[in-house]
Amino acid sequence: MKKNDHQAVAYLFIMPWIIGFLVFQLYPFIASLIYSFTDFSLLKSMKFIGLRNYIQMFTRDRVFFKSLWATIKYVIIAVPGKLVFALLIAMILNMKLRWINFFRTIYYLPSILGGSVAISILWKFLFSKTGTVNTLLAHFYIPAQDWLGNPNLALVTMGLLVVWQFGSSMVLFLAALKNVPSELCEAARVDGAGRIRTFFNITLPLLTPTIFFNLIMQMINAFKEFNAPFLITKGGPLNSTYLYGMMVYENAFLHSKMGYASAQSWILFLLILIFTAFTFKSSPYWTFYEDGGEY
Amino acid sequence: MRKRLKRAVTLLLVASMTAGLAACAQNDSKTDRTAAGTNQEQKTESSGNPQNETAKEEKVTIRFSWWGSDTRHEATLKVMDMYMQKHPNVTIEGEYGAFDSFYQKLQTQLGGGTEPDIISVDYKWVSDLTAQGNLFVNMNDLSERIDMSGIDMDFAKIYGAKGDYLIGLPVGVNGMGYLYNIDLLNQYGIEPSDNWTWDTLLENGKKLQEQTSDKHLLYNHADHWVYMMKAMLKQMNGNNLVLDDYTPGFSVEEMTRIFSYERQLVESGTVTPFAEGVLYETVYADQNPNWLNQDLGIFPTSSSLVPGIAKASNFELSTFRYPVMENAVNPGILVTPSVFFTISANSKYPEAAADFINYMLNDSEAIAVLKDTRGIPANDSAKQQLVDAGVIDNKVSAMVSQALTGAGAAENGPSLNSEVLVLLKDYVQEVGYLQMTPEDAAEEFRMELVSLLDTIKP
Repeated sequence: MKKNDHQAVAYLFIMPWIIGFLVFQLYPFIASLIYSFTDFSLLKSMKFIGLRNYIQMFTRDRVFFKSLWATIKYVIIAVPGKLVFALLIAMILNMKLRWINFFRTIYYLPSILGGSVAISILWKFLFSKTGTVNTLLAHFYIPAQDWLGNPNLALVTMGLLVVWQFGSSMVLFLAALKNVPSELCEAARVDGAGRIRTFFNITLPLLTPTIFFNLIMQMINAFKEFNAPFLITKGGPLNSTYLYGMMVYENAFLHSKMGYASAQSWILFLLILIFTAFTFKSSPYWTFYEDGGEY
Repeated sequence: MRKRLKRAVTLLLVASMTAGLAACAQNDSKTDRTAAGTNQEQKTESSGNPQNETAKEEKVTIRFSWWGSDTRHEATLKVMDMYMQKHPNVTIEGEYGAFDSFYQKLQTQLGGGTEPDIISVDYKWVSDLTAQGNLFVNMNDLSERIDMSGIDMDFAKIYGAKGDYLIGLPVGVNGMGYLYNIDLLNQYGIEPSDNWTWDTLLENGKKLQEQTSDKHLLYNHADHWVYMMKAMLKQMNGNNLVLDDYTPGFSVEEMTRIFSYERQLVESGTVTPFAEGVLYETVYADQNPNWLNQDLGIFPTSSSLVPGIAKASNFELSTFRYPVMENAVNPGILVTPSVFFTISANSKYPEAAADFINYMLNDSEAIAVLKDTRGIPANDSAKQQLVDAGVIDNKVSAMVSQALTGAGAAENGPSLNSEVLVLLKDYVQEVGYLQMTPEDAAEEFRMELVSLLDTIKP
C-alpha cells in the first residue's frame, strides 16, 4: 500500500511531461499517420484514399526526388562541418586561459540565439552580392560570388550558417574533453608522443561516444531543417535549397494538401530512422568506451 | 508529518498544472459565459446610447486581420480607435502583418476554427476558399446592414462570387502598371509613355545597359513573371493560363515565344540577373537596396503597393501603362479588387462585424483616414470624396486609370491555383538561369501542367 502511494506521487511528478507528450507528440504522430492515407486539407471533410498519396509522391511529384537529394546533400555538408567546427572550438575553450569562462559563454551565445529569424536575415546580408563576405574577399583579389544566387553554391552557403550554430555540440565536446584522463596524456607524452599523436591516439578515441551522440542528434536536426531555407532562399535558386521540411510546409500550408504533407513527413521519418539505425549499427566499429562499451 | 506536507504541496502543484492545461480546452465555453454575464449588466446602464440597436447592448469583441505596409497599418488602427470611441461596447482587435505567409496563417486559422471575425482576403484565394464550402458569411445576405450602393457589384462578383454566394466586398481597385524612377529614366534618355510594347521595354533595357552595366531597367520579381506571362498570353490569344475546363490555355509555340522573351530580357540585362536578384525576388521595392540606391528603373506593381514604396524611396516616382503588344487580342492588364473584406461564418457577432465594415467603406470620417491605403476605393462615393479632397496619391490614381484603358479579361480560378503558379515559377527560373532553352521549357511546362491539372481537377 505504502509503496503504491509513492509510485502515485512519482507519476504525478512526471504528469506534466506525460500530458505534454501525449497531447503534443503522440497524438500528432498517430494523427499524421492516419492523415497520410487521406486527402485531408484542413478545410474540407476528408476521405480515405489508401496509398494514393504515397504512390503520387514516388511516381508523379516532380520536385520530390529533387528535394530529397538536396536534403541529403545538405546533411552531408552541414553535419560533419558542424561537428568538426564544434570540436575545434571546444578544444580552444578547453585551454587554460585567462577569462576562459567568459569566452565559453560568448561562444555559446549563438546557440541560444539559435537558428533565429534575425540570424538568418543577417546571413542574407552578409552573403549578398555586395555584402560583407564579398567585400572581405575582394581584399584577397577573390572575385565576388553570388553566394545565395548561384544554384551550385547556395546549399553550401546555407550549410555554413548551420555550422556556425555549433553551441550545443560544442558544450558536449567540452564536457567530454574535460573527462579525458590527464594521466593517459601524460603517459603518452612521457613515451614521446607529440601533441598531434596524443590527440589522434588518445583524445579522439575517448571522444567517440560523444561524437556518436552528436552525429545522431545533428543528423536528425539537419534532415528536419526548415528555418534557413524558408527565411533565406525560399527554396531557390532552381529549387537547389528546397529542403524536405520546406516541401512539407508548402504542401501543407500553401497548397493545403495536409494529407499529402503527412505522407511526406512519414517518408522523412522512415528515412531518418534508416540513417540512424545505420549509424547505430556502425558504431561498434568506431566508438570506444573506457569501460569496454557495455551499454 | 513533514513528508506528508511535502506530498500535499506536490499534489497541489501538479493539480494546478494539469488544470492549466485543461483550461485551454475550456476557454471557449468560459468566454461565452462571461460575455453573457456582462451582457445583462450592460443592458441596464446603456439605455442612453442612441446608436444602432444591435451593437449597443452587448459587450462585443471582434478580431480583424489584414496585411500591408506601415501606412495601411497606421490608418487602419486609427479608424478602429475612432469606431471604438463611437461604440464603447465594441472592442476591435487588429491582427496585421506582411502579405508574405498571411494566407498560410489564415488557412491554419480556418482549419482550427480560430480565424478572426473580419478577414482580409485576396482575390487570388477566392476560388480555393469557395471550393472548401461556405467558410464566410454570404455578403448578399448583409445588404441590409452594409450600404453597397456605391460598389460596382458586377466587379465584386467577377472576382468574389461563386454562383449566388459572395465571399466579401471589394475594398479597393487595383491596377497593374509600371512605377518608375523619373530621374533615372531621364538621365539615360528613356522616354516613358503609355504606349510601350514588349519590344520598347527590351530596346530601352539595352539602351540603359549600354550606358551603365550595373543598372537595370526592370526589377526581377518572382511574382511579376507570372503576371507578365499571363498578360502576354492574353494579349496573344485572349486566354487565361488555364482554361475553365482545366486544360492549358496555350500551345507550346505560344509559351515558347513567351519564354524566349524572358530569355531576351535576361540576356540583354534588362532585368537584374536571376542570381543577383534572388535575395529580393519575393519582397517589394521598398525593401530592395538596389531600388533605393537608384540602380533599378522600373518596378512593375499593383497600384495598392505604390504608397508604401513611394514613402520608402527618397526620389521622385511616376507611373506609366503596362506594356501591351501590337494587335493584342485582349489588352490583358490586370485590374482586380485590391482586397475583400469578409466575415467568418463562425463569427459570434456577424452584425457587429458588418457594421464595422460598413463604417470603413461608407463613413466619410473613416474614408478620410483610410484614404487610398487599400487602393482606389471601390465605393464610388468614397472615391469621389477623396478626389474632391485631393488626397489620393496621384501615382495610384494614374496607375489605375492607365490600367483601366487596357483592362484584361478576368482571371479564372484554375489559373490562380497555387500549384499551377509554383510550377510556372519553377520554369521561369529554369529559363532565367539559362538552364533550359525556351523551347524545351515550354514543352515540358505544358506537359507537367497537363499532368498537374489532372490531379487538381474537381
